[in-house]
Amino acid sequence: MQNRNQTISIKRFGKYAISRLEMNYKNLLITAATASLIAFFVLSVLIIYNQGNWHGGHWEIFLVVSFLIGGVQYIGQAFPMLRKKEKMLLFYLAPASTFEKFIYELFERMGLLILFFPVLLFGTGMLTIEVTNLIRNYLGLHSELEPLSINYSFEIFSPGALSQIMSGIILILSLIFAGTCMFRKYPGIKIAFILGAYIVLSSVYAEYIAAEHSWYSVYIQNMELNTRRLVYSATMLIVALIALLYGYFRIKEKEVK
Amino acid sequence: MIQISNLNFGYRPTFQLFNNLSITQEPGSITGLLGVNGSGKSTLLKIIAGLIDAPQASIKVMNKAPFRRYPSFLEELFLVPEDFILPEITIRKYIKINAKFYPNFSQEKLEEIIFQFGINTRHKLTNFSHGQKKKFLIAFALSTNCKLLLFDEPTNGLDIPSKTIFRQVLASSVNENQLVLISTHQVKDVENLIDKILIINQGKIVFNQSLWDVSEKYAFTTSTKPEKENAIYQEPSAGGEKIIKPGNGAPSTVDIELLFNAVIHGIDLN
Repeated sequence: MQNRNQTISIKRFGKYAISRLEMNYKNLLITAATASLIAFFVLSVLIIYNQGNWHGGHWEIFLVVSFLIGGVQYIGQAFPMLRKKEKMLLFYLAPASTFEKFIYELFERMGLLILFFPVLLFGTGMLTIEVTNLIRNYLGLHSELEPLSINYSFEIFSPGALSQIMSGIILILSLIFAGTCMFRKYPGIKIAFILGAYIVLSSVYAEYIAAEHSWYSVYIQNMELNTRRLVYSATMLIVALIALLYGYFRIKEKEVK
Repeated sequence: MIQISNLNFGYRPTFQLFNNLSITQEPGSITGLLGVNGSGKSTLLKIIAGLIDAPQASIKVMNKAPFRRYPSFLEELFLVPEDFILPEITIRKYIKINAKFYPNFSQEKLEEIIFQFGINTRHKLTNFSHGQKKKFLIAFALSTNCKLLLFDEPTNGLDIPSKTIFRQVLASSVNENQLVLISTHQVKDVENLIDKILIINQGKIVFNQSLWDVSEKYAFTTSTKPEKENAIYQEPSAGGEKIIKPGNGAPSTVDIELLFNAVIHGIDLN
């Protein structure tokens, strides 16, 4: 009980989380505003480029790509206090457990990203459509652009395919988050490089070696498509969890020399 | 409060900073941790604070293994490092955010020390000079009333009046349940402040005595010419020679710098 209380206490975690949010809320608001501005600009360009064939479902590709790029950028900056020795002191000497500090960072990066970034993008997207329609009306083009739709993905992707996409994104973000626990300098770039190399190597392996020789491949090929996708999703989520656990232990054992 | 035994540690396998270093320190004192540059004073403080792991040694600080970094350990320890970065917020906000983590924090004490140091609490910490930031951090550390206070070169960057105030506030702020460990190579700055001396040299604690014991055992005198007999250690100074002689049991004023030099030159004064 004593040891458990030293690892996690709701009261202490709340105190720590509030103190971190009090310190960081301005940065978070600036990050959100910057992301909105960039999304507004990019979506405007996409709408102008596709104005003849704009479809309410087009934005979903934009959503996934933005989520991935924004997520990599935002999560790649996790644990900013570990980038400098002087700040590391403050991080490790703050009276909360390392687990609580890790969970808070996971919440601030992955949690806020997953909860708010799609909403932010959707809100910005709707605003972009409204602004574009106003401009089109002003220019005498009376046909209104179709509003954004979140149903399109459900129509074109099966639940298995969607879960595979979501799990893939969570895996990539988890690997980047774990990377920020390992590397002190330029963690985002290093992890993106390692991840890229891994994807290339595993694709080569899957395409030329495993597809013909591996018992696993034979086993997986005989599965129904949706079942296979669920197996891939589960595998990716387990790998993501392992990466996060590894990141936690790296933080826990880190020294401030 | 601090029990360290058989501490062997080095940043490189080829160079051991500590060789079987052992210390025991009890609460109720302001202890000066003295040593030449690079002797490992800051590293020792970091090991005590749980920032560096030394798995082969037996280390207990407040009955806990420091590197486990338990919250109950961290809320009773405050380290003022030599170099630090403070967040870009006002002093008031810093206090509001951080004070709640320390169960014995005293707002009145903080205000009193801040007043003595002449710090303006409305300013942002980033607008302060390094010396002003350090004074604030020292004030905050003392106000936490933590059982263990660690100061790494606290007088570096302080002006002369602030050094005097530092000595005054520290001496008046600490109680018998606390242990204050001050690492410094500026021996003069901690004179009239510390009541125990630890000297670290070549990987070992070579001196560990209370100033009271030293003042009874030894006499610290000056002379216009070198002593031929009876001097344990002597060195030239502006007025002639500074000398350590065996004491006669009556307490004398300890010249910490002379004592430090004697120990570093291999004189056994334990």
